[in-house]
Amino acid sequence: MSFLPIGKDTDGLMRELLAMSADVSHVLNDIEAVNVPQVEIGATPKELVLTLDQVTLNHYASQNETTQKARPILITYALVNRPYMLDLQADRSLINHLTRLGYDVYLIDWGYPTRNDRWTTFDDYLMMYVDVCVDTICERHAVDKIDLIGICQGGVMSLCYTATHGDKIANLITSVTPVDFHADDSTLSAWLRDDLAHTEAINPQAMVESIGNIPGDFINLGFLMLKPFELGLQKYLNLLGVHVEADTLANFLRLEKWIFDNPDQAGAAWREYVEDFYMHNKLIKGEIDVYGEMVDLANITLPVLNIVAEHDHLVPPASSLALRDYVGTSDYTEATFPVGHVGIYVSSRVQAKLPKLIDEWLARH
Amino acid sequence: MTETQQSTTFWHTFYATVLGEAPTLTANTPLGPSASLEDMRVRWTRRLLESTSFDASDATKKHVAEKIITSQLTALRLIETASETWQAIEPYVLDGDKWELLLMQTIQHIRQRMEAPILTHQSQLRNSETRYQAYLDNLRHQGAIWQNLQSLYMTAHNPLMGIDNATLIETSSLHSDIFGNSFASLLNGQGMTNTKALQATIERDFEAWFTLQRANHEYQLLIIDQWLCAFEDLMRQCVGLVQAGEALDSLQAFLNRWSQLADRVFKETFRSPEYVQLQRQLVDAVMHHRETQQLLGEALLSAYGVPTRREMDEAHRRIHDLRKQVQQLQRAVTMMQAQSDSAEGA
Repeated sequence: MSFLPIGKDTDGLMRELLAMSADVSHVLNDIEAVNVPQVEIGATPKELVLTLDQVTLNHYASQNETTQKARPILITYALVNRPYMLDLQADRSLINHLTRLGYDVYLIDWGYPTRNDRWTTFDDYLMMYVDVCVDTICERHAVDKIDLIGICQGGVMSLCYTATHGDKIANLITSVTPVDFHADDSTLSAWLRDDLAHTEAINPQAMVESIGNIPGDFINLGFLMLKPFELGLQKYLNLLGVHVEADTLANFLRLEKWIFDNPDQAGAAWREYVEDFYMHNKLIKGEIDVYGEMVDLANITLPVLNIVAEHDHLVPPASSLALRDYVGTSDYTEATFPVGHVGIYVSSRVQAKLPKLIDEWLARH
Repeated sequence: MTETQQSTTFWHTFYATVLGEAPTLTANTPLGPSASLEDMRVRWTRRLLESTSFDASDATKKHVAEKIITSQLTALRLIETASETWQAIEPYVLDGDKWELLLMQTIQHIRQRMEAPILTHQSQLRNSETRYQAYLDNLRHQGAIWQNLQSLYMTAHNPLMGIDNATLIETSSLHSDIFGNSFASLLNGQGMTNTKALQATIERDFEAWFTLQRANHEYQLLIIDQWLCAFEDLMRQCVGLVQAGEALDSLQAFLNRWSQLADRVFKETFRSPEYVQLQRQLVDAVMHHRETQQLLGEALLSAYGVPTRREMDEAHRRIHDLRKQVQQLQRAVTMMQAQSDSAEGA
């Protein structure tokens, strides 16, 4: 009789089990040996340009005088995660690569909202912060327009901003950005659409009224629940039974730091984002209101590059690719990479191609 | 040696080895060492958890270390449960359908074990006395402020400090209300709290807490049920492999297969209307309980003149609105200045 349906006898299983346990001790020792600075994130030198409440604008200066570009780039990242994902480590930093290609890059850091920010709305983020950042950058570089890169939820913000303030943007790049929030029946959709499950899994209004801001950990729990065993168990067990190089372990720790560094969400903005975008799909219906001006994606007539992750389980490709049906531009380009939502910024293979792709596309415009 | 003895010996040897202790259990040891095994399991868990000594500056390292340890412990529990099940069904796997019946029986046994704490708690809550005691225990866990609240409630103090309950009953509610709402509310500290309002708030919180417990139980039972569905699938896959003359080659492969399979099962579960309904029910209950707790807190804070959350939120809202207006005015002024400058230039 066997202990488990595994091609090993009981002694063999015992040996593997003991080895696995010994590995726990080894990995814990290896983790302890990693220097704290090795886990620090932020590889590229930056300068603080502007502080608006808890929001900051940072400038990463061009590192290539010979290919210096006249027009700077502003990157708007999602509110739900920290933007340092774009500068995780030197060899996998979109920001570092772009500055080496001659771009001045600006990145908005949304900070960590406090209870003081619970009334900040989605359009406040656009008008009180993004718009001021855009004006500041234009003034610093004496230009009328900048290039805008929007990532994930930041991509949604960049679409809303460009549709209402297109005169300040020369080129728009969206990356892993949801556009048609009902394009598929993903788990997130099932939780937030009453037409799929007869009710929503949460009541955003009640949540905000009850707790003000939405805890970042609650948002992260939602993401982890999409693959609970892979992300909560197997990922860590995979560190056992194989020799993990110190550099690999440091990379792992940096990514973990990012994954679990979730700012709380300003209550009003979060409620609007869930209700207007996820539940009611208002972006493609032209029903998003930015300080009295309706967002019509058809108003986006400037060149658009839409970057999509083929295996994205958070923003399904169909949701991003829907952009082609709604923007008004005739200069629309798509680029897809065979990775997941996070992989597009941490995969060394993608980072070897993506900055160049962006550079070549911008050079043509 | 019976299957149970064999399994117990295996795990005893394992824990004794990782703990650096000599195995004391042999095939001849009488059954019933479960307490000793459980003790070893607890000591091993404690030792793993204590083996990390990261300080606050190592938050990420500490987090990952804890995740690795808890993953290892989860994996051990799964392996133990799987081996228990496998040993029950294996003799019959190549022998027709009987293994299916034994699989269902074993899973039912595991279900009873997993559900037991929830069912016990449910049963406690059905009894009004133990239910109220559980609620008070919950209040105590909320912190010292709640202990004050409990003493407030238990002494049932009233606007007329020093009057006992019996006297209170004789006091007309009209007098109590008028006095309470006028002079007595200014007397001193804790006595400023309106007893009737406070009692109503506590009752609301108690109801909200009870609703939350029920929602939590229902949610946990669904999760256990789905975990068992995934586990049954895993066992059926193992049977399929053996029947095909194949086998997984390692524990890591077994755990990998489990993760993939369980994620598939839970993906479907999390999308089901039943789950969505239960999650909604749970989150609503959490939020409602949070609100009633906030009201309780406010009842105390307002008695001491401390600003409440509601008041702070209102102040924040006004500040936010003013901030917006100032920014819009600044922009308008800048625009007017620019127009004025260009007009002067022309």
